[in-house]
This record gives sequence, structure tokens and C-alpha cells, in this order.
Amino acid sequence: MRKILHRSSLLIWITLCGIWCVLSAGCGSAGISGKENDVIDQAKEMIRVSDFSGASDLLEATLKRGAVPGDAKAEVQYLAGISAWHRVPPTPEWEARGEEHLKAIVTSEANRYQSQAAYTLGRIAEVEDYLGDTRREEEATSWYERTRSEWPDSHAAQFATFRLAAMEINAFDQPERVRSGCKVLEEWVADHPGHELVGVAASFLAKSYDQVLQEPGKALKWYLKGEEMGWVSPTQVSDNRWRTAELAEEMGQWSTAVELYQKIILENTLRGRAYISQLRLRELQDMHPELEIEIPEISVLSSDLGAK
Amino acid sequence: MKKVNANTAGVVLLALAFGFSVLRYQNLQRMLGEGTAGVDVEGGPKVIRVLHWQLEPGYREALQDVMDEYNQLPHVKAEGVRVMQLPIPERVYSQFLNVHLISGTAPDICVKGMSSMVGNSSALARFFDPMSEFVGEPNPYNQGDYLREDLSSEMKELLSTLPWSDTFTDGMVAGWDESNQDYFAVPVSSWGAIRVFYNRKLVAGIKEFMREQWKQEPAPEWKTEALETFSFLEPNGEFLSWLATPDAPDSLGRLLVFCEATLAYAQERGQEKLVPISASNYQLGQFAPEYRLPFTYSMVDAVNGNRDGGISSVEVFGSWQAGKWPLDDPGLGAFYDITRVFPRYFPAGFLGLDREQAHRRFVLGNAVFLATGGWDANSIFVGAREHSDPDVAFDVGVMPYPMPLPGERWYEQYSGKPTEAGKGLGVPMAINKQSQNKEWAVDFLRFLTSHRVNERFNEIAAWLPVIVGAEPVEAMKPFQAEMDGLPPQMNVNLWLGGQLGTLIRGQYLLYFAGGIDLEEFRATVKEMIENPRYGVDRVWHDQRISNRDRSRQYDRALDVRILADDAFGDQSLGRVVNLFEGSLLLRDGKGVELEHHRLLPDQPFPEF
Repeated sequence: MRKILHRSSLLIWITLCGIWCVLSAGCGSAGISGKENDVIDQAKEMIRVSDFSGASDLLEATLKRGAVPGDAKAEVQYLAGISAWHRVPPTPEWEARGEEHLKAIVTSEANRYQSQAAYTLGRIAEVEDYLGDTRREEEATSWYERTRSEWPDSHAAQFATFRLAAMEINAFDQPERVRSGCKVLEEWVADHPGHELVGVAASFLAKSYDQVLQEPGKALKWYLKGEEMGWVSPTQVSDNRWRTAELAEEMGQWSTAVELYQKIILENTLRGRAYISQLRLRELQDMHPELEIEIPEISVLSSDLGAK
Repeated sequence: MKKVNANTAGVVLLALAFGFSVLRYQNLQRMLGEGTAGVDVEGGPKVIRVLHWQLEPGYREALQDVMDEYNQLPHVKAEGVRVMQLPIPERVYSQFLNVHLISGTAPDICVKGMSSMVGNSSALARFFDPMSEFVGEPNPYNQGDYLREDLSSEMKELLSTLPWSDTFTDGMVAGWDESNQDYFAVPVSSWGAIRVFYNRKLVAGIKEFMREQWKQEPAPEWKTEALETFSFLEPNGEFLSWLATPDAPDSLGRLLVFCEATLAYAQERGQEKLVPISASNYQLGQFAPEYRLPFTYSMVDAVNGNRDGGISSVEVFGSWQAGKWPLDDPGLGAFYDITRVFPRYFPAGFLGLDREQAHRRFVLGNAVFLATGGWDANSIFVGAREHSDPDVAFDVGVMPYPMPLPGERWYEQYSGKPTEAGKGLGVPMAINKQSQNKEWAVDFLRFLTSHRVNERFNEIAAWLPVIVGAEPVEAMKPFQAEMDGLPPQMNVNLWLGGQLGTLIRGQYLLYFAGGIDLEEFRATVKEMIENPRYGVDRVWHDQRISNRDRSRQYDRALDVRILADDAFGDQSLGRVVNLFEGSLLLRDGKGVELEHHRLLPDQPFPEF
């Protein structure tokens, strides 16, 4: 009996060893591979997949060990700064940690991350991120101003200008502040006529004049600027065109309204407003026969490429 | 002969079974070209796995047909690439996808949907790859020999030069994620619009029954109910002309009169199982949305005061709070009346039935109507036509939801039908960020959405193609979107608004099922909106927080994009612009405060 048990135990042990071998082999290939030892690459990959907590922990540990060579310090600190700020859920401790890293970048010797770090510090001060967080408007203004003055040609400086203007415009119960914010953006557009962000400025100004100041003339001007520059978000094109056409009608600019309604029918056919654009055109046709308004057909795109 | 010990035999069997399973596992992995965790084995075939839940008849076969053709393409074979599908039932799809996304073993291509992991914008960006860098280029499979020979030269030229995104009938908007300001999926099929299926044989029989009884004196009970109790319509000349034909009801009034007659028809013939409309909890969500917009569109000017192109929950409840519309608005009342009438014609206990039961009832000839989408069309057509009992088999007709005509009840409150433009583009396929074969995954999606392949794929699947110029199969033509109609984004929906919306929806279901009457429903809704804990003030507060969080989400995506594009120097901002605009326009939640200030200038913004 003992002999049999002994043999059975041996087989059980062999079987268990087999299971262990297979499982350990499997776990081995699922683990982190050797080629990803570079901390910066690992952190960037984590940030790429929005794993800010993982990146933040990894970078904090690396910085704590002092294992970062001098030439990579700014990059590691920038990554640590934004990872800490973007952690979910946000906490006062991680926000402070993020600020600490970003401030270190701004005050260190010149590096390519400084302008973006300074802008981000402004943003951290501006937004309320967690229960009990407060909006530090003065501090935000100061960081944005610094970004603009120290790195005037950087992308961050343009972002900072928009944020400064937005802080004024969003004080909607103080019309003078709203107007001064609009002026900042209008001057920026005048100084940067071909910049990639002109479309964003036009969109923000149009909606601000329309919804905050309720000045249809200026709203129309900026909606038309947005139309000229090309709207940034493809899902907003139809809504923006419809509102522009409504404002154009309000301002008596019939041809502009007609052109926009026609564009909605031909180019934004599937965004829901093609039919009511036809109805508007019919009404305008009756009101203004002299305009000789053409009402395009709504094209069934599955069998017609004309509208494209 | 030596006796074999049972324990030893058991252990030996166990060891053999274990050994066999290890060998089988390794063999399968080798065949699929994978090591553990979905990682390709070096030198082995590259396997692109496509995860989806489309188990409707024909869909898997159609996808396999496309995959077989793709796998045989010379350049695909040369690289050892093979595409395979993983169809998973709808009920477990969410759990399957969530688990595999978290463990990093999700398939290369997954249909986006069902899972909460991909419903959330931040999770979407975490697990799936944005596709902007690919969609601006023409689709290589819309070139030369890949196109159908009989296409016009103009069409060939257009397809071969248009950016990939512009070859979709909706410009690929169905794959666009607003919060991440990027394309995250490629729609490959369209189910078109929701339609009402009807049994032609029963319609003809019941119409005959109606004609026989119409002139009877005294009037049959169903006629009195329909014309006097419910006042569905005035029986004018047009109605009588319709009655003389075998045609299905083409207006709301006619449908309801017909349903009333069906009840009498079933009773007279002792067909206890026959009901006018086959319904289940699945259909519940389809009737209300179809009738809400046509009857609440008249409220749009009162609700959408900021003219921003859409109607949010704060606009709905805030405008009510500001006295812009009453709860007993006639349009809203008509909508409630209509949706309350329908359950009269549903089977008893319909809320406890599921989608399959509703289908079965219709296919077995025990209901005249069934409302559902084009995704069910193939199974319904085949099931009804090929029934083993020829007496039960019938032809299916398809019609849009009927709306009221002049002279019918509720016509005064009717503003028009909603447009179906842009509806139904679906089966959005997204590429897993962890995929080892991203470029091949994109290549397969390009192939699947090329003109010729997408047309054939949807022909076999009996869905609608999503590529411009692609012709749908004849049976699916009734599901093509009707372009005329009111914009769906102008929907005054009281079911939005977090907890308040959910509670109102619950009360509506109670009202819909006959548990409470309209007055009681309205009184409860008013109490709910005014509730200090979860009412309209909470909606304002929550919307501000939500917009602030969305704005922060844009900030996160912006930093990820800046890093990915290395946009620190003087190079183009590219796609960073979209994300910056998204964050800016949300005003960190201040836009909600602005809306509150506009509607209720004397009241402070609610704080909790």
C-alpha cells in the first residue's frame, strides 16, 4: 500500500511540476520585456495609453533613486509633472507634486519643455480639479503672462494668450471684462493671420459674442471668419453653419444666409439640418424672388456622389 | 494478471489529459502565431483577430467571405498575415472585452460598443488607437483593379482620390469621438432606420374584415371605440379610399383604427394569441423616441434659448424652471397620449418579454406588426417566408412609423417627422492600442470598407453598405434613411439629466404600462424636478461638474498628443488644435453658469 501511495505521490508531484513549468513559462512571456528598460520610453508609453498613475509612480521612483542623467532630467521632470497632474482621481497632493516638477523645469537652465511647463502651471492654477480645490486666477494669469513674455514664439505662448482671454470672457456677468477678453483675442488674430489657431479663435469669439454679449453683428463676423478658415471639429460644421445663417438672416445678409443653407444641404447632408435648410430657402425664395435662390436637392449619398 | 490500482489509474489518466491539453494548447498557439497574451511568435503567421457581437444570420458568413478574400491577397500571403473573427454573444460581449482590454489580450480589432470601457472617452483613448493619421489618405483598395469594372469612370476617379474618411456616406462621423477629437473607429455596415414590419397576409384579411363590418348597423364595438371613444380620426373620403384597398395603414390614425379592428378580428376568430403589435421590453425604447420629436419640436424655441445647435438637460429643465414652457404643454401631452395608447395593442405582460419572444410571435403569424431595425430584417424575412407550415408562411411588408394626417387626432400638435439622415451607421471597428499588427489591422479595415468589398459584404450580410455609391441589396432598400424631416438634435427629452432623468423615465414606464394616469404622472414629474436633493438644481450642478471634467479630459488628451507628436518646437500643431478648441469651448464648466445666468438672472448658481 505504502509503495502504491509512494508511486501515486510521485506522479502527482510530476504533474504539479509540469503545471508549474507551463504556468511560469506563460507568465514569463507575458511580463515586461527587456527592451523596455528605458524609463523614459516606458513612461511615454504609459502616458500614450493614458496610464498617468503608472507613469507617475514609475517616474517618481526613478527621480527618488537619483538615477536620471543630467541631460534627461528636464524630460523626466516634465513627464513626471504632467503625469502627476493628470492622475485620476486628482488629489491636492498629486497636484502639488506636479507643480513642484513643472516649477523645477521652468527655473532650471533653458530646455525645450519650459514654455509648456509654464503654461501647464497656469492651467493647474486655473482649473478646479477636486472637491475643495479653488480657482487661483491671479496665479494663473501670472504663469500665462510669463509664458507669453519669456517664450513668445512657442505654441504654449499662443495657448496662454487664449487662456488669458478666456478667463476674461468667462467672467460673463462683467461685460467690460468680456469685451476686454474678446479684444485680446481679436488683436492676436490680427497679429497672427495665418496661424493654425485662428479657426479656434474665430469659433470662440463667435460663440462669445453670440451667447455671452449677444451682439449678433460681431458674432456673425467671427462665424464667417471661422467658415473662411475651415471649422476645426467636423461634427460642429453643420451647427455652426446653421447658426451663421440664422444670424445672417437677422442682419439682413440674405445672400450669405442662402449660401450657407445651400452648403448645409450639399455638404452636411447627414447632419440633420438639410431638410430644414430647404424649408428656410423656400421661405427666403418667397420673400426675395429677386435673389433667384436655387434650392439644392437632398442627395441620397448611397447612390449619388454629387454632394461630395 | 496483476490488478491495476484505481488511484494509480486515475492519476495516470489525469496526467494524460493534462499532457494532451498542453500539447493542444501549444499547437493552437503555434497555428495562430501567438505566444501567450496575444503576442505574435517571431517568424509565425501574423494573426489579426476581429471581435464582434453580430450573430444575426448572414453577418458572420459575410465577414468570413471578406476575410477569406483578404487572406488570399498576394501581399497579405507574402507577409504571413491572416485575419480571423471572434464572434461573441451580445450578453457576454461587455465582460469579455473589458477583461481582455485590462489584461492586454484583447483582439486587434474590436467592435466599439456594449462595453463601458469604450463608452467612456478617457478609457477609449487608453485602450484604442486614434485613426486620424490614416483617414486623410485615399483607400488603396479603391484603386484600379480592386474596383468594380462596371463603375463609371467618374466614380472610379472619385473613389480613388477621395480621402478614406470621405468615402463613407457620413464622412466617417460615426467613428469620430468628440471628447478625444479624433477618429477612433471605422463603421463597416449600416442598419438604416427603424421600420415597422407587417404581415401582408394578415393586413389583407383584417382589411377585408373591416370593410365587411364598416357599414353594419349598429356599428361594431371596435368602430365605436376607435372613432368615438378614442377619436383616432374623422372617417373622411381619403380614409374610405384607403379602407377599400388591401394596403397597410399609412398614417397614425389609420394604424390605430386598424389595431382596434385587429382586436375584434382575433376575438371573433378565437385567435387568442393574435395581437396587433408584437412588443417586448426591447421595443419599448423604440416607440417613444420615434414620436417624441414630432410632437415636442414646437417647444424648441422655448427650450433652446442659446441657439447653440443642440438641447441639453440643463436647457430642458432650466427653461422649465424659468417658466418658458409648462409640463402640460399640448405637444408634450400629445406625445404622452400616443405612447400610452400603443400598449393597448401589445401582448399582455410585454414588459416581461424579450426581443426573441417578440420576433417569434411575429414570425409565427401571431402579430400584425413588429417595429425593429434593419439588423433583424434578414432573419424576419427568411423566418416568415420559409415557415414549415405553408398556411403560416407570409410575405413581410416594411413601412416607416406612421404619423398623423390632417383630420386625425394629434395632428394639431404634430410638427413633422424626424429626418433619418445619418442614422444607423454602425458596427464601428476600433483598433486595440496593444495590437502587435496595427498596420495590418488598418489595412484590413481599408479592405473591408473599400467600395466593391463593402458592397458585397453587406449584400451577403443583408445590411446596408456605408460607402458612397455602393448599392444596397433590394430587400434592404426600405431601410435607407429618409432624408426629409426635422433635426434629431432638437429633441426635448426629459429622460436626460442623470438621476432626475432616470427617475422621470421610471415614472414614464409606469405611466406607459398603465400604472398611473397622465395627471398623476405630471404631478410626480413636477415634484421630482423641484426636489432639492436630485431635482433641477442638482442637474445644473452636475452638468457644470461634467463639463469641467470633460474639459480636463481634453487637457489630458492634449498633453498626450503634444507628447506623441513632439509638438514642443516650431512644428505644426496638427491635431493638437482640435483638442485645444474642445477644452476652450467647454469653458471649464463656466458655460453652464452662463446658461443659468441667462435663464435665471436673479438666482445664484446652485451649490451642493
